[in-house]
Amino acid sequence: MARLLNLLQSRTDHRKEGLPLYGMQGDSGDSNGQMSFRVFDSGHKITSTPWGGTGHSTTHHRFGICGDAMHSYTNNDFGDNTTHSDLTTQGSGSWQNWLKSIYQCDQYPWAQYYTLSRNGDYTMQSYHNLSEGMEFTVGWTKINHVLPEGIRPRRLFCNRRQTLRELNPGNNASGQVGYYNYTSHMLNVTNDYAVSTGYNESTKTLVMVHSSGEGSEAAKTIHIFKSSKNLNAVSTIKEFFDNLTATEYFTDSWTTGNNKDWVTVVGNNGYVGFGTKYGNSKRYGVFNCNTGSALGITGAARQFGTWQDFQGSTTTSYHSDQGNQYYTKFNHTWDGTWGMIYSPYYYYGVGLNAFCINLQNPRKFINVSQTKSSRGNPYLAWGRTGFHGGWSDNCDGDTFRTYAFSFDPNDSDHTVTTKVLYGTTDGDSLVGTTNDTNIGSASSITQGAVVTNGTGVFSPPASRTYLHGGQNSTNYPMMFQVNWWGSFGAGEQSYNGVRD
Amino acid sequence: MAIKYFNTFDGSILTDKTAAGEEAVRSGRAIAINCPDNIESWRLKANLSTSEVIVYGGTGKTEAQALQQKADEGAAVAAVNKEKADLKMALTEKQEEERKALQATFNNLE
Repeated sequence: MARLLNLLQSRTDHRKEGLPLYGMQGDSGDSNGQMSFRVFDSGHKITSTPWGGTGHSTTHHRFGICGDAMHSYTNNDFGDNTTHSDLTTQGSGSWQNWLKSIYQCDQYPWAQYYTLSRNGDYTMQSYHNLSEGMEFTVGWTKINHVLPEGIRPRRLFCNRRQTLRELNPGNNASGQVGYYNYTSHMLNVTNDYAVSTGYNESTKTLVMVHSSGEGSEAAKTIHIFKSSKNLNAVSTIKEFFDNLTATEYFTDSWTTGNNKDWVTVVGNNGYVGFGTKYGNSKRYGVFNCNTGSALGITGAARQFGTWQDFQGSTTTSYHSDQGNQYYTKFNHTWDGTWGMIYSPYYYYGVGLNAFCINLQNPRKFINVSQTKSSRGNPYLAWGRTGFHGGWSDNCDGDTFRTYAFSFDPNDSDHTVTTKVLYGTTDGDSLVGTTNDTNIGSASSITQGAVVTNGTGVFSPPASRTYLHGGQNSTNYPMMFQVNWWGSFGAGEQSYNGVRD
Repeated sequence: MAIKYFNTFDGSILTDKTAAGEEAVRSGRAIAINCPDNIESWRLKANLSTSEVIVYGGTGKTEAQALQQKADEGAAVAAVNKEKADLKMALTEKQEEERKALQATFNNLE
């Protein structure tokens, strides 16, 4: 019956999307020659409409009738290429160098610099005042959501000081939809700067971290608010707080580089993962935030294990101390079973420095490391239980690749190792000539890794997509986040079959 | 010198942490190589044929010098790409002129 109810509930949730799509733009040379733009599904099959996709040769006027809603003359905008530039040492004003960076995307369906429909119609944000955009300045205040299968955040809640605000979704500075000062519901107001907030929709639990400042202050107060109302379904934020069924808090001292980097991931089992950029590295800790068990008001009484430092390779990389836009990101798989707290490996937006976390049980987590130092791309949800992205090298006479990897959606036991499956450049080894065995026999998984929870590191190889870059035409493809992946159902190309 | 661990699929660096690195070695995902000190990890890559480390810019270069080399190489690649694109553009324009000339000839014949 429970399974049937789940099925009925998921089928009637209008937010549920089909499997992830991504956009890809490839342009050659100085971008004034040829470029193309299309939308693909997780199997790298094209899904955009012929009218939505963009083909450009020498027509200028920003791709003719399919033009971006932007005021410019050619693809060679503002004296530089739109998608051709690598991010190396440029500041935030060099927006065209940031397009491929890891900073562009997270679990929200838009990006720092553009939006893109599933039909392939996209718009870049205005380059004027870009550094005052919502994502750029206060993207770090967005709530980190743990949501049911196929659902991405469709309402935008931002938490700062002791006020939760609702904004129109997207990277804009339009008026607020609503706000609520929740101070009266707090049990401890010693620390009054909200620095990270997570929400779990299935348990209707909101967890907030307050500190004594938005810099490197260590003092923390963590509040746990459980409500009978779903925050994503209320008319006003006040409704959520008017219907609280439990409120608890604990205090602790958490060392960090900058408080804006904290990410809060509220697991289905009441354990909550807190992650942050920490110097060139990253740090993750898990606390028991279940209510009603007299767990106490100190972090020590609630922490599972100890803080875990990132175990992959690190090099010089930025965090929120160098600029708000560098804030640590959170994303999750399509089915909502695994999440990723991440930031780039290298300086300005390339490579991957991540903890991947089971969202049923945040005590189960591994390190994911990808050490690229040029030509990056954002990481996006991929397939049912995976992520991909990160690769934008020259596709002149080569196929486009991604770093794709996926998890077992049913593996939430933190006492056993974690299995990660990944792609390759050769189909013959993907479907190998030897039999794979299961967890516990690490070396026998031909295209997978068995990783120790907490300390184990996995590094994804590049996978060939067999999307081609043509011949004798230099191009560095850029991956785009898609606003809406389409309704989930059998009429959808990326439906991927029936499951219950 | 210190042991660091490199991915077997492309020689990229995986980690400098012993426990994580040894686990990857045991499962065939990484190899361990003794590496020079005080070199940022992004400059290190394994030669999988010889199991030796390759240092971007060489061990004699500082981090700043290596970064400059990377920037210079990036600029050189960009310049080549632009030249290539300009040639293609010139070719396209020439083809367009030829097409127009042919069209004019055709129109005159009519």
